[in-house]
Amino acid sequence: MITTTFANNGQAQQRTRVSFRRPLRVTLAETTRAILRNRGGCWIGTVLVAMMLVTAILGPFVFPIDPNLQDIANRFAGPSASHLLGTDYLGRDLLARLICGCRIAMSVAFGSISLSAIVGVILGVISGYLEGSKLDYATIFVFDVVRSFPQVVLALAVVAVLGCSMLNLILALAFTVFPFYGRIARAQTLSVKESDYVKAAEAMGLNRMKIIFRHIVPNILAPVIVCLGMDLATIIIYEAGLSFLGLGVRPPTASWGIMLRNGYRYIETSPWMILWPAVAISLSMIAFSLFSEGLRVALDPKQRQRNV
Amino acid sequence: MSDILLDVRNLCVEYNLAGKRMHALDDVTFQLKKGEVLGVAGESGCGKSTLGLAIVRLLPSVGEIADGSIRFMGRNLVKLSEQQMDKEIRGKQIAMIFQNPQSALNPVFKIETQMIDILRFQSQHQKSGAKKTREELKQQAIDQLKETGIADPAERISNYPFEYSGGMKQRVMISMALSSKTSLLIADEPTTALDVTIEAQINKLLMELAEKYQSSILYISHDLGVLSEITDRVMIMYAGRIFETGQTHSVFDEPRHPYSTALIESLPSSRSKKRRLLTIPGQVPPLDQLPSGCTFHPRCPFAKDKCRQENPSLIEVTPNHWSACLLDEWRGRQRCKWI
Amino acid sequence: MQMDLIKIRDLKTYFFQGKGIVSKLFGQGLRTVHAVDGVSLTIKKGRTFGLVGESGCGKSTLARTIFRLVEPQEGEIYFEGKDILKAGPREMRNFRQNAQLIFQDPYSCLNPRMTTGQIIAEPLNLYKSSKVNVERKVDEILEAVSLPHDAVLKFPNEFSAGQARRIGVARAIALNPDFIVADEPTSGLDISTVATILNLMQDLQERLDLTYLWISHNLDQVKYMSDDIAVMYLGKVVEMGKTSDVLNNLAHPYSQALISVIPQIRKKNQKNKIVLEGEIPSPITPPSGCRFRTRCKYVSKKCKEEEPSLIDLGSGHYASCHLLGGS
Repeated sequence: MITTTFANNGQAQQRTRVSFRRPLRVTLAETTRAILRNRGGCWIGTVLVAMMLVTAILGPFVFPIDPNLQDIANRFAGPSASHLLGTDYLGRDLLARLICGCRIAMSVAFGSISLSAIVGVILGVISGYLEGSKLDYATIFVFDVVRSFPQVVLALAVVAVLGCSMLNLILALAFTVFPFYGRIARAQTLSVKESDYVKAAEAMGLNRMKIIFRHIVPNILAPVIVCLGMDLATIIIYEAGLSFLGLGVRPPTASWGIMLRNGYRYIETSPWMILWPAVAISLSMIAFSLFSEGLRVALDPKQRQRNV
Repeated sequence: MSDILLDVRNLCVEYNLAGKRMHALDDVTFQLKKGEVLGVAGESGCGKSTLGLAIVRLLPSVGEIADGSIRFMGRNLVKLSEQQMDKEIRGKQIAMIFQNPQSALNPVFKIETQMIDILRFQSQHQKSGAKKTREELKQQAIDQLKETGIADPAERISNYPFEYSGGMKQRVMISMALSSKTSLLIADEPTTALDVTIEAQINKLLMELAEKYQSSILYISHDLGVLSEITDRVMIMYAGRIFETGQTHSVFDEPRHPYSTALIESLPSSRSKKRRLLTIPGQVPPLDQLPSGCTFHPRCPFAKDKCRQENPSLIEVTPNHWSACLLDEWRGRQRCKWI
Repeated sequence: MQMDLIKIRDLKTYFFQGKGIVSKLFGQGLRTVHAVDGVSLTIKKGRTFGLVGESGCGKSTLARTIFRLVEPQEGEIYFEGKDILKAGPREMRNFRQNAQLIFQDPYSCLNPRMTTGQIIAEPLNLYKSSKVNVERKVDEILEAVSLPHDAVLKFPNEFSAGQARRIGVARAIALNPDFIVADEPTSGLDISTVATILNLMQDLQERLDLTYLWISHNLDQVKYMSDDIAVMYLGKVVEMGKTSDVLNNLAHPYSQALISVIPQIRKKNQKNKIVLEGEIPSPITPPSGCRFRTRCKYVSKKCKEEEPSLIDLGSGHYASCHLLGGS
């Protein structure tokens, strides 16, 4: 009889189960283990991203100081016991504003990237699977047209039309980025659709939508996820840039871009105002780059050790 | 004893994978005479490819020769430095051809370029003669292609690898391997990826060229039929050890070791149509958790207590036929019968 | 008299390369790969039909054409009397439940991101209308192919090649089909694993009354497994008939050469080999007349001009060679 020992799946499974999907906790456990096992700084990236997410979600609730509370008497202060990172030109606490900016950065980044990835991947996979059809040509055409505009200019144009707000910012940034996901997804689909398991599904008589979403999409996600990670970092820069230009979120909301703008004006008076947002942006870029690499390796089932 | 070309003694090779020590080869001892064709048989994971790579010291970085000696023409290859191996042994006295000729050739260079590269490298290290010109090298390459049976070699030499079929690519590899008058050719599954009729051509070519250049061949394969037809002697390996070795026909017609017997009996050619094939229960053990004593005992229906305790060494059961089974002594001349 | 389960008549599947502009301007223009070029054969119910041939002979393309993964140019494929190439959705649905394909590579035919349970349950969920207890059926199937029950939550790459092959077989028998096409089912497997898989396939054939189209380049295996046999070369069938008839009385020069070069393990079986010269021609420009003429030692003038058709040698044994005409 075949006897195999599997190290990971220690849990005894009941005979009656609802689905054959691997339990989420097992997948999460394995993913975490794989990330932590990873050489290089991938786990650093993961930890940093986790920290930033926690800050973004809980920070503004937990942190006692109001980011908009002005204290003119104490403006341009350096780091001190009461203001850990100092104050800005209106006496507002820099750390509180930084935390608020983190929330905005994360919201804009995850919001726009999720939107563009979902739309881009779906369009890309469908057009790749229906290669050569009119729909395919039309989709590629749309991708190429949107991609041919410089990203920042396009985002500016959209914001100018729709108005300045966080939602519009998310929409604008999503719009500039979705063709890249579309292209990646399409290219991957072209090769994946020739795989034997897709052929097996076709021979079984599965309809096209099920083939696309069950067989193709999960298997093209690897490069998409890498791209996601990198793009998260890039979007943070774009958001900062647009806010810097006054075309992103509106003051007095504290976004890193606005903090940069204010800090830039008073750079000779107080270098702290510009230092902290700059550090935050750089750290977040490093964090996301490392995280995306770790995530890709961790989610690739082929990288899992074969249990012999 | 002077006609022994390769003398391997107690060779142990280990791989370090993710903290585990895999014993890929364990106490491997054998000799290869000049002009002889020695076959290495076994299933995947038995260590036959590792053996080939260990001899030319091309093990991957996770592998190392832990113990033993490989004496080749009087020198211990284990003790030589990388430079010495490169300059004197690899591609010169010992050549190797692999299973997948497609991955052995660089797809972006013409065959001409690749062959001339190798020939130039080889001629530089020859003691005699002046440096050859490109034309001379090209002519030499064309002659070699012709020798291995490629039609229109003068034209085809300017092709890219993708324009060659699998069989033709393997011929190119063979020509490059045997050109420098190698004493030993290690062939690691050279025809596994080829069609049957092409396989016959390539094996025939290998034998002809080996005879012409008086080379010995270490032929590694899992195809027992091929080994039976072209080798003089054969070794059957399992989990890094040699279980049986001897004259090819002696081993295949009258196997002594339970594993070899089962392997041969499990081939479809040993049974008449649709009669149930013999299967060996269990699985090959993982190389980092080898069973104590005889590595085959958990799967062997003839195992006794002492098989768990003692590691059998090769015993000569009939002239020129060795088997590593503790039970051979009491079994005498009887062969073991699997049910 | 056994029923004809599959009847293939004059099937032609071509692939076209070089359709684009760049190819027309700079390349060689349109090239036609004659992958399957006029194949006719009949597979009887309950029997195993072996199909042998080397690279480029079209056996894999034939398998894919049967399942309409590629569309043929010409020809008919009758399944239980109905031409599936002209079938409507309902008949195709019926066909797809009753005919299954086992692919060559044990791993690549399994979605690496689906668990074994999901893979086997997929056809069940697709075709069973009432709530047939899918979990129990999957357990039954796993037992039938000797896979452990804890395999359901594992991914294909966590299995050995032999086990991955069993998962493919499990998926194929899930719907209790009548007909299975096995395309090189033992490729990439060790000798002892091959034996277990062959035993398994035979067991399943008996228990589930299956009909096999067994495609392999391994002649020993085909000799062992198949009741009927066809030899293909460059898109055409050159010889076919009952396995025992054909192998005892090889008529076509290619079959003779092919069988003679099978490596034999026992010395007494090792006979003289007919080692063919030359390479297998490309299916894009097959030789005129008889396609085998470039490597045949009996070649004559007629072989170049006229293509031989299958000649009846008696009791269902056919071969296409001019040398046999009239005798």
